Amino acid sequence: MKKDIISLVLIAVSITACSSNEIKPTVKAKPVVKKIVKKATPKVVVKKPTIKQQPFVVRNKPKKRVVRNYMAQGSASRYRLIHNGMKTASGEIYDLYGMTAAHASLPFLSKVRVKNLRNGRSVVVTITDRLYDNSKLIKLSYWAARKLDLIKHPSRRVLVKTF
Amino acid sequence: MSKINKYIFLGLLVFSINANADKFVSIGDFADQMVVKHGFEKSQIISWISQAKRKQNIIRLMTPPRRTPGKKRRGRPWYKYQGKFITRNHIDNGVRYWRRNRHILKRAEKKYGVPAEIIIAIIGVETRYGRNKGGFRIIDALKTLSFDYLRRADFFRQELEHFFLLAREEGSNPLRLKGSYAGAFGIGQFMPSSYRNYAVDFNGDGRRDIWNNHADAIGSVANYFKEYGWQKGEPVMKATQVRSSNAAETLLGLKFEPRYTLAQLKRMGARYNGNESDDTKVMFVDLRTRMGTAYWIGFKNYYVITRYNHSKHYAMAVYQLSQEIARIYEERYN
Repeated sequence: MKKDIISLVLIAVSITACSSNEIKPTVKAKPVVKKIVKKATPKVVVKKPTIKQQPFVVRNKPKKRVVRNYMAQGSASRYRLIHNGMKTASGEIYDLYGMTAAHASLPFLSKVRVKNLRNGRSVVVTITDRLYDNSKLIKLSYWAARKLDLIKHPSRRVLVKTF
Repeated sequence: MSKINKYIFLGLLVFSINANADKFVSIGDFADQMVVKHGFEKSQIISWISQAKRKQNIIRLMTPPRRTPGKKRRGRPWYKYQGKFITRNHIDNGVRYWRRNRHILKRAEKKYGVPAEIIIAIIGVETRYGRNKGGFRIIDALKTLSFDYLRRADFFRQELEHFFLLAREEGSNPLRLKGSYAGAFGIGQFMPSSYRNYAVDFNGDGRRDIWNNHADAIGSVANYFKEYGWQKGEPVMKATQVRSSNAAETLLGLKFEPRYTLAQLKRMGARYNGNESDDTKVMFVDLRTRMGTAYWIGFKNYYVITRYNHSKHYAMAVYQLSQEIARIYEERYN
């Protein structure tokens, strides 16, 4: 009876050990598993498939993140027409009528307020993309840029601020 | 010379109107049908119809703009249509409408699976949230369009039939009900047949009053969408790229229905980057923005919106207005 229990525990341990690094089970662990499995009751062996590799599941959406105390001034650029339908760095599809933006460092799906310092208009955009242009602070979607009146006057300074 | 040309042109015009018009049915024949099919009294039907007036301005409003032969008409671009509906006013009033009717909208969302912002956007585009329900007598509109204007007479005669049935079922006077110049009425602008099939009583008073009661109107719009197959939680449309302008041309030759799989569209040259599975049924949409033509993939839900009004611009306007409203509402109240 005691032996059985010990063997069961051993199996459990070896199984968890296996699943934790399923790609390369250590050489030492292998014979131990085999030995005990032979001794054990068939019921326990049935459990073995749990070691099988799980199907790859895409996480639904990255978690929404909130950043505090970020504020910067600079100039903005915007996406071009051909970018409509492009895949952004966050995985979302760029839509020219979306309120999204690209930024060098702010986390994806965080929201920031962008204000045109010349006319005082402001919009809230979601960061969905990375910006690799050092001369610009933020890259806005067409619709966001339009609301800030940055289509006619693209070189106005903007203020980017978290809530 | 110019006079002769004018006459020839007029002749051609009359000919072309006749060529694609429906057959004329006299009021007497229509009344006979109503007697046989639904057991109305003939004198009653005749008296109702004869009390209705033929309105010339309805005919003018329903006549499509003349086409110059041989020239391909491109129509009004999307951004001009957009400017009429995606306005500060529409969005702000939509947010207020949502706030005012939030409990009803939540209930409708739960029961029918249609998001509140879509219902609001429909009502906003149709009647500016119930402010502009139309000042024509429905019977005038339907009489004019079924007996005096033959372009879509068959359709409007059916609607007239439904309208008389509706009046009998609801116990209202058909001469007093008001609607738009095309015979659509109420906060959600239902046609008589849609009213009979899809309108619901959503406030539990036993009447389907979509003229004055916002709860009934909201429930009816939601039910209409559900019946046409709105898929809860599924996307409406997503932007896509195309491989070349040639590819865009072939894609635009497709039917305006979600009858193609994503894989088919990709084979034809759409470069779509979403994670939807390849056997999703979709359609291809192009819109002329201020910057140039851009392309979208429309899903089943996009098509369901076009069931309310068969136009790609209409569906896009509803979708975009709903997104704008939802954005502001969330900012303000959540």
